[in-house]
Amino acid sequence: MMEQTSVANMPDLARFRRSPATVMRLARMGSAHPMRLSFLRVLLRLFQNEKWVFDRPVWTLDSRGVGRAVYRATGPERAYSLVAFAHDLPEEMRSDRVIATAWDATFALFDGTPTEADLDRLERFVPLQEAGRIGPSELSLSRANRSVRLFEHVVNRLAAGKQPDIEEIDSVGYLMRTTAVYGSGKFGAAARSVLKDRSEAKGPFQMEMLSVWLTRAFTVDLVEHLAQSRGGATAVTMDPGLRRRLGVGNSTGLGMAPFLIRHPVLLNNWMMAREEALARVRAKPVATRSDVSALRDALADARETHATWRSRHEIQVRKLAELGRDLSLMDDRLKDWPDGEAFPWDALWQWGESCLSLEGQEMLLSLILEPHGDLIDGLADCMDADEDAVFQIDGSQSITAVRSALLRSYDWALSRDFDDPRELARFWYVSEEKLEPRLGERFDEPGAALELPLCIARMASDMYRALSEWRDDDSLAAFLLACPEHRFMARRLQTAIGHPFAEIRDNLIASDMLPIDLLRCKLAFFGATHFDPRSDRWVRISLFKNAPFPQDLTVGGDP
Amino acid sequence: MNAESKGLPGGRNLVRLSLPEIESLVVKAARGAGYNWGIAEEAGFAVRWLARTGLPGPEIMLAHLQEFDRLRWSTIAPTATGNSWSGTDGGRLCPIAAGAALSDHFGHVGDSLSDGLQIVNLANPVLLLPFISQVAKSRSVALCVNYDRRETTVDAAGWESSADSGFLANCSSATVIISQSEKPRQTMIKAERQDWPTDPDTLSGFEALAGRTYVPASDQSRAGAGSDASDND
Repeated sequence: MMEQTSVANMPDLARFRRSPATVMRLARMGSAHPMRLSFLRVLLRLFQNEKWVFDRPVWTLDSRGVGRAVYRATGPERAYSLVAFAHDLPEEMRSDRVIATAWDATFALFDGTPTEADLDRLERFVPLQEAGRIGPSELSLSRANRSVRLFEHVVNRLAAGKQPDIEEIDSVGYLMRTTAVYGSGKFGAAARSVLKDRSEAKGPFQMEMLSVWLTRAFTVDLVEHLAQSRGGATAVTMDPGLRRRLGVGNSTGLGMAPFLIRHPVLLNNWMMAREEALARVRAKPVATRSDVSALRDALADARETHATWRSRHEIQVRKLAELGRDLSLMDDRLKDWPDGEAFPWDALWQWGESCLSLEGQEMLLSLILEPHGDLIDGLADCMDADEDAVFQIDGSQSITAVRSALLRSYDWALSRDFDDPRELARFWYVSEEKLEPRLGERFDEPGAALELPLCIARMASDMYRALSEWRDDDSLAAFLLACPEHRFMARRLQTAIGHPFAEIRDNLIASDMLPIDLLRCKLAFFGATHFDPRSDRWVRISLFKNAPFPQDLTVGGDP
Repeated sequence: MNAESKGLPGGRNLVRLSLPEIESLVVKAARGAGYNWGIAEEAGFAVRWLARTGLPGPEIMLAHLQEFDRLRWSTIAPTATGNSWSGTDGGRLCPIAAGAALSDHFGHVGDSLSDGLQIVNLANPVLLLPFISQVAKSRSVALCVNYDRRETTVDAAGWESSADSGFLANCSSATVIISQSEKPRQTMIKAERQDWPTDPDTLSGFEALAGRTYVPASDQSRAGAGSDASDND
């Protein structure tokens, strides 16, 4: 029978899957690289598949580069516009910290095409950022600062009729870096729920990615505009090959770190999609010549990325050295691969697991997904989440069932010794000064009584202990009525049962926890490259480096 | 947050908060008022549901949190046995505590609601409607709600449009009776609002409570957050 045949022919994916216990560790998550399912790749593929068109209906910058611009993306059903305000920022006010109050440029992503009145309204509020208000027609709010050195270099060169130096471009990688991109209902912006029925916007962070991508186009237009103002007839525009090497920088600090912990279903869905993609590739029985060639191309690109990836942070310096060695090992390994193995991709993967560092293994994951768009790109549709669906607690569960669920899903937490001060060393809190999440030292700093519920391992452990005083057939409802302090964890537990990748299986308040690992994982899902930690809780990255510009997309090329 | 600088021009200078924004503020405010995080999340859920369906949830929730500020849980939570719930000493019950218990007991398979349920001396009963909707949704039924001469039907989508929102909301204490609805369902107010025009006083009231959850800056915390290097590079 047809159905039986096709089932029999399907490889058993289960044996090619990595377990959550392997995947959901901070050290590995902190070694993640961008891949085909990263959100900016998903966005660019959509633009290409649906033949979106892009234009710049407004550009009223003066000779100092101060004024407004609008970049518009138009798809089959709707248009979105990045509204940009360019400012003249004194050097002493330039700061990447979220505590800054002025920027080189400020932006809002507008739902549709803004009228003159919309632009006037936005000009009153957008430059204020957090101190202003936007409305339901806005989908994101962001700002960017110049990379002073590269920005000046590029303007000077172009003004003089010369191209910028490729070394200079690669050493920085971007003309401007965003220091915050707010979406999803922040500061009055439209809530995510209004986007859920739009195919182009329902995926995670698609509107934020669009905003950053159009910001990249703005940064290049801005340097060309300033070069023209300075150089007049002598000035030239940037060579497209050089231009493509420019991304948009981004500085991300602790404020973003709790996101993955606060959105367990979303995290689960991102991880599940990526791990499913990996399993599908590992289960392939053949590696065709064109697949092999695409893999080699991807490796060559990765080596180029590695060559332009700079960091002075001691952790990243070590990881970059490991990655460099690993990329050479992969190069060698690919020379006699495939070599008649039953499952060549799996053989390659298993080799990687035994020979490569975490950076290298996660890079290999990104690389082997690369030739398999037809097989895995559809998984991008499974990466959003309906978080409301898991909100309601099932109070009818018995205490026995709750206990065994804790043992099953939180064994990694229950085995921790929370009498050891190192396991309790930190606490997450919101700072009164900046209203941003921060990480404190529990035994040295005041404020631990105001701890945020991000210490999941400890909460699981506390709940398990509290349950010991209850009878097996008592209900969770009765327990939670008597012990409301465990309600947060009970909801979390019931979410985790159906979402195996929902939890980061490390202690997020341990003395040796590195917040940059949380940032790296999230940013890799965005599609970021060139992770450059500035401390253990602060990282600079590049987005859209080597990606097409709006004007390139109509010509073609695989994003 | 400076309410004035954020006010929209004209009218009463209301601040239009998106629903995620108000939910997140209410969660923090409820935590600031002494509720545990898991209950604070329920308060946020409730306000989002109420505002989305056009009921003045934010204003009533603020008044409620201010009135029930840091009260002991055991004095405001119901004893949830049988089909008549009340406080241990007959005091006014908190609708967030009662709502969470209602959802826990009657959501999913849960206990039978066929004999109805009464909750005695419940403060601000309109705050219970989101939880009743949650139960109605998980049991795929409509539930009839009565308190102090008010009556409405609640289902997964919202509340009955023939009821008067001001009348429903304007009740500070009552015994609430919940029963399976027998009559044909009226048009329901669908949950559809995306934002809530918020009075600056309400906003600052929430912010004052939320502010209790923030930790004042110390030299150590300032030093830890960012990079020491200049950003002029």
